[in-house]
Amino acid sequence: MFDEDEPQVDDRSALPDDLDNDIGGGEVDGLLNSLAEDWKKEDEMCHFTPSTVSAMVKVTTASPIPATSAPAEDPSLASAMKSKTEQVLESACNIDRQYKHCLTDDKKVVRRASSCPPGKDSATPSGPWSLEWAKTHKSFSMGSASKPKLRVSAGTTGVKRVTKKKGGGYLRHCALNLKRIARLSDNDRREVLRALRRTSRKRKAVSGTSRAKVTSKSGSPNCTSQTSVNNDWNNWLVLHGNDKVMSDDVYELGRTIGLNFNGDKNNMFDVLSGVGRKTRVGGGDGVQAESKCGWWGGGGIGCEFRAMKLISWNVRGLGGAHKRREVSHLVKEHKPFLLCIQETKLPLFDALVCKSIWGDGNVDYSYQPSVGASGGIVTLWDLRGGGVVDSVLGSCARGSRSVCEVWGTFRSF
Amino acid sequence: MKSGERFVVFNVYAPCDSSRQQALWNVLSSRIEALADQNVCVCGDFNIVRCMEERRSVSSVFNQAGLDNFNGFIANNFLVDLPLRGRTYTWYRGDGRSMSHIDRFLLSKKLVSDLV
Repeated sequence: MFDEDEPQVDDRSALPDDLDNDIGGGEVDGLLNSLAEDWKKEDEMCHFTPSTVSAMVKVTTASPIPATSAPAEDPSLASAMKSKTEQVLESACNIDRQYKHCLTDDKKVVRRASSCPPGKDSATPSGPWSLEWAKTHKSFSMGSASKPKLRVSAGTTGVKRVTKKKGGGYLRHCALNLKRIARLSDNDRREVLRALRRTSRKRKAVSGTSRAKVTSKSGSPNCTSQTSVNNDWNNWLVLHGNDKVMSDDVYELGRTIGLNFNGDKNNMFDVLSGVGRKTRVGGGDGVQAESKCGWWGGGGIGCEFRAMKLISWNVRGLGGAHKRREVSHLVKEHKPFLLCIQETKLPLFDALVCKSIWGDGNVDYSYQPSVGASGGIVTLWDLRGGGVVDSVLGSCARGSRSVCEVWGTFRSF
Repeated sequence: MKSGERFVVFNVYAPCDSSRQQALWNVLSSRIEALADQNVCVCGDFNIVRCMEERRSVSSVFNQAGLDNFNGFIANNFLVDLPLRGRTYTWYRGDGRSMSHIDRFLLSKKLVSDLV
C-alpha cells in the first residue's frame, strides 16, 4: 500500500507554495489544501482503499481547475496506474534506466494525453498529482538536481519520511520548471527533454555547471579582441602598405592564432611587423596556442609551428593513475615533440612513469622533484625529434628548481 | 634555417609570491640574455597574469607589482607572448569562481621570425 501512496505524497511535498504565482489562480491553493488534508488523513490511516481514491478524485474534479493543469485521476485508470506505480518503485534503484525510458518512450506522451479528460487536448499537461507527472518529475529531478541517491532513499523509505521533506528547495524548482515544460506543445516538450538529457549527459562528464558556463563565456572576449586587433592591423597596413605579400601573411597569421591580445600584448604585432621586413612570415604554418583544459580545473596549452609541437600543462599532481592516463591520452592525441609538465607533486620521476606517459620508449626526460607535496616539474621530449627538431641535447635546472632548461638543435628547412 | 641551429626551451613553474617570482625572472633574464639572438621558448605556468583582463575572481585583491615585474621581464627580453586561442583562461579554481590566464608560451624574436 505504500507503493501506491508514495508518488502522490511525493507530489504534495514537491508542490511549491508559490505555485499560484506562476499559473495565476487562487483556486489552485484551495485545491491543494483540500488535497493535502485528504492525503494527511490517508497518512494517518496508513491505509489505501478504492474509496479514498474516489474521494480524492472527487476533490480534484469538483474544484475549478485552471487550464494549465488537468485532473488526471480516473477510477477506471486506477488499476493501470497501480501497476505503473509499482513499476516506478521497482526501478527506483535503477533511475538512469528509468530516466532514459521516460524520455525516449514516445508511448508515454500518448499515455499522458489519454490520462486527460476528453475536453482537453494532448498539449494539456497532466496535473502534478498524476502518475505521469510523478514519473516525469522523478526523471527531471534526477537530471537537474543530480542527487539521485537522495531521491532513491526517498522512494524506498516510508511515506512519513517523505512528507517531512515538504518545501524542499530543489523539488520546488523542479515543480516550477516542470510546469513550464508541461505547458509546451508535444514537439517542443520533446525538444526540451532532449536538451535536458544532453545536459545530464554532459554533467556526468563535467562535474559542476560553473565551468561549463565559463567555456561558453570565453567566446565573447575573443571576438572583441579580434576586432580590436584587426583595427591595429588596418592601421599597420596604412603605414606599411607597400609590402603586400608579407602583410597578407601577417594578417593570415593573426587570424590563425585567434588573436587575444589587449594593450601591451601588442608587442606580438610589433615583432611580426618588424620581422616581416627581413623574412617571410607565415607560409601555411600558423602559431597555435590552443587550450587543452581538463575538466578538473587544471589546464594545458599547446603551441605548434612547423610541425614542432610543444605542450605545457600544469597537471596539479601526476601521482594518480587517472591523471597519468589523461596525460598519456594527450600525448597520443597530439604527439608533441616536447611536453612540459608543472606541479607533478612527485618527489621521484623514473623512466617507467615516463614511458607510461609517452606510450613508447622513444622518450627522454628531465625532472625537478617536488618540495614536499608541492611543485615539481618534468620535461619530456621525443628522442626522434619532431618536425624541424633534430634532437634534444641536454637539460639542466635553473632558479631553485622552478625552471627546467632543455636545449637541442633544428634540422635545416 | 641551417641544420644544427640551437634552440632552448625553458619549462617554467613560477612560485606564487612576488619576491620569489622576481628572483626567478632575474635568473631567467640573465640566462636569456646569454642566449641573445637565439631560438628561445619560455613556457609553463607563470602564476601571474599580464593584465587585469586575464583574471577573473571574486576577490578584488590584485598583485599589481608582480604584474608589472612580469611585464617588465617580457619586455626587457623581447619575448613574444603568444595569444591564446580557443578560450580566455587557462586556470580555473575548483569551484569555478576564479579563473586566470597564467599558462603561456613566450618566444624569442628569432624563434618567431624563423618558425612562425
